Amino acid sequence: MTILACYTDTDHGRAAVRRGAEEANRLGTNLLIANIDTERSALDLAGLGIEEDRFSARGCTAAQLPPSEAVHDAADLVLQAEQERDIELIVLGLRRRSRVGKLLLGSHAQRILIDSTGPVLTVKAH
Amino acid sequence: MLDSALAALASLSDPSLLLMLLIGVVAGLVMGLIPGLGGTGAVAILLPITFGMEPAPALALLIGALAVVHTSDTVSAVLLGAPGSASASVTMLDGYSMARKGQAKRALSLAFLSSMAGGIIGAVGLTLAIPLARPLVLSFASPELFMLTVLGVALAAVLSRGNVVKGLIAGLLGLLLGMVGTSPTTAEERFTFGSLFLGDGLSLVAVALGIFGLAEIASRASQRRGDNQQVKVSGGWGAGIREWLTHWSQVIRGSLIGIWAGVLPGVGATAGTWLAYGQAVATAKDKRKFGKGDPRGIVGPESANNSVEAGDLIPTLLFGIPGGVPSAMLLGMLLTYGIQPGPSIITDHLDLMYLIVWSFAIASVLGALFCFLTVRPLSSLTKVPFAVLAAGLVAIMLLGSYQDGGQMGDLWVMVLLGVVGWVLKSTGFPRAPFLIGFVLAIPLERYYFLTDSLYDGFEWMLRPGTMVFLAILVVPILWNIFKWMRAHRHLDRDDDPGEENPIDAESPLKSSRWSLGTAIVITTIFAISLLASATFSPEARLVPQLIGWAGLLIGFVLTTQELLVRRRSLHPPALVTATADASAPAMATTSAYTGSANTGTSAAIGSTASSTKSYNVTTQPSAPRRTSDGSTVLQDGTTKRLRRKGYGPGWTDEASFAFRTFLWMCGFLVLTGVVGYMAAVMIFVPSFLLIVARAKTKTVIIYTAVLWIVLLALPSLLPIDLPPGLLGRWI
Repeated sequence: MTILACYTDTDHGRAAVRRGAEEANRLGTNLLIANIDTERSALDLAGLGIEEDRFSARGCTAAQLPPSEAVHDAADLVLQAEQERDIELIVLGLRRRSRVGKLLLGSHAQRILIDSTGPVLTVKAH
Repeated sequence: MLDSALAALASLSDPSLLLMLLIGVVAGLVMGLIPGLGGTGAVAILLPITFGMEPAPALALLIGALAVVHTSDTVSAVLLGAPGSASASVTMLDGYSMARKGQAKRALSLAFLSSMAGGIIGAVGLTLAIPLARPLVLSFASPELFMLTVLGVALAAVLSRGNVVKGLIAGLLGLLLGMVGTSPTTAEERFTFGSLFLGDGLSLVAVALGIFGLAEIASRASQRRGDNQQVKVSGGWGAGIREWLTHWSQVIRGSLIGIWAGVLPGVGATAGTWLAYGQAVATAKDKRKFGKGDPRGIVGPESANNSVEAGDLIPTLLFGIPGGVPSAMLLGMLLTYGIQPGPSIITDHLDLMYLIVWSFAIASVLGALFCFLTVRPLSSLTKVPFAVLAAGLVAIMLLGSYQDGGQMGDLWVMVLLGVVGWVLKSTGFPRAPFLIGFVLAIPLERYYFLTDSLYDGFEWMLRPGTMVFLAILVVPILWNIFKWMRAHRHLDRDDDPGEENPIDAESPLKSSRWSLGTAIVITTIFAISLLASATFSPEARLVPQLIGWAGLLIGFVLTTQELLVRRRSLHPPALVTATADASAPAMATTSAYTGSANTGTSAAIGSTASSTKSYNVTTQPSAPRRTSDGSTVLQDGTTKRLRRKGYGPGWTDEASFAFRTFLWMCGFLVLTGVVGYMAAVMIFVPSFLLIVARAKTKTVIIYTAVLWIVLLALPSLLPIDLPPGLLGRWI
């Protein structure tokens, strides 16, 4: 079992990763972090407050979802990972958006919420 | 209308037209296989051949080639995992995975059929666009046409991949280059510096072949080895064909996306195929297999890249605004026949319009058919290393650009622009706006003066059509400002295109001294153009001065951007050290990535150890792209050089190779000038093959002999002149 946390370089993105790590520790599962920011570089897990020792101590892993060459859309990336792997829960950060903003740009969060088959936990930035 | 359509079809039963179409299809298929040529190269190489022809056979030839370049470029993407053109790289994702599973025939049949359908749907789109746009187009007067030309260049600049500022400056540079020659209003010579040769303006073929063709050759000629690890063409055709039928909705969706991408200037086949792929992924319920051999990942993009070329033709023929580079050249060709695309093509040359439509549709079917029949020989052609092809291509391209005016000067211009094209490509400037600007420069000026003389003051701006176009022009600018402001408030991390990745396989010299230098040089060129145009008469001065000021302004913006990038990389922010220190534990995660990302990270650690924290480490493990062997090596190379010099790549191996290739081309031109073209080819081709491509002696002898026979036979088959050279004239 794995928990998939969606990272963006924003407060709500980091909150999602934090919460994902908490959930993974609580449930004793692996943690997988999908970087769905525009800059899809490798993440520094320790910098995000993830103690990999704690995961390996109980035989689990904390890792980043490797970047995909084929799928670029953030929502599709997360949904593909969910279908491919044994994902128990998706943790997603939400932000405030105006109606116009939603109309014009659509929302990754909305697509993930609607299209995912499993449960999604959404968190807000504090 | 139906009459003209049927008449056009009847005219295609003329054997000479059909023959031209067939030649076009074969040429297009072959050129689709050669990496980097694509539609641009196909049209540019075939265009000179058409100079002596009537419009109808010329169009049949060019459209035949243009319709099928995206059919054959799939072959190398599927069988080698090395796409023949940028747009085929999307097909590679799923096609190559499928081929490796022993289902190459399934992937290829899906791709060929989708390409065919894309072409046909594109042609249908083009047909439907004629009656739909007809009343609109006929209501256009010079103000609308002027706005359309401005819009054509502006949209191409804004919508091109990458940095908008770079796109705009490339468009302006193209406009400026298009101004060279005689002014359309005052018959005054501009920017000719007293040269009679420049008085005619630059040849479109020379510019296009230089900026795209020679530049591409120079950047790829270092590939000496062909790919030999080819996947076997196995599996059955039948399964793929049956499967294709079940994905008919993907075909239609992909084609429509392609047409739309084609209609927008500057959005070419590459963006169109990615859009289609994204659409296929987003609408699929089961997304697991995308990137691992999902048929929908082949069908949608393959339909899109063929219909893009038809979509490109819609604004080209109806409005005179090229939607892409190949259609820009087609526009140039039509103009040389005195056919003015836009309103008059609908009233006077409707038969030619329908001839184009039919040719496109028939060529799409023929192209797919040929591909099915000749997969094996086609796939063996993809094994030829690019360096070997380069020798013949240089000879053919230079011969082609000689046909326009029969002047050696065009050839020198072409090589010079080849260098310019290479620098633009390597430093991340989009080249499509450049060529579109070049083609539209004179129409833009002509329409402006027509408008100016027909209307008082700015009354023309109040026409409804003009206002709509103004809105299309201004709204994206406002939108960008809005987005920029939001970005500054850090609100839109997940919807803006973000900053560019400094290291990019396509443009390895981006964000380096090279791009800073290019920005400065371009700004200087605009400054010089302002000085030079100050002496023109007021009428001839207006447009060049406007372009000059705009270019100068944007040039300063670009230079500032580049200086900021430089400062950021020379004095990296604190973030970099933090990531670098933590990169050791991060290794665990990056080890899941493939080869080149790992080398990037380890190099990063190495550099922190030697306390040269000189570049942004976070950008290093950039997503590795399975383009070709070359690009992976290249990434390693840039990493090493970054460590030594500190700011961006300096004089790289690729750069010196490219410049050596250009020197070879110069040598070829000098030889041609002295001993004549035939003799020069006989010296240039074998020596290039032996020294640069390091081909086997046997290959060299056969290659040269075949080329010699072809060149000997060509002038009797086609209206072609060979440059004679000084010696030839003396004897």
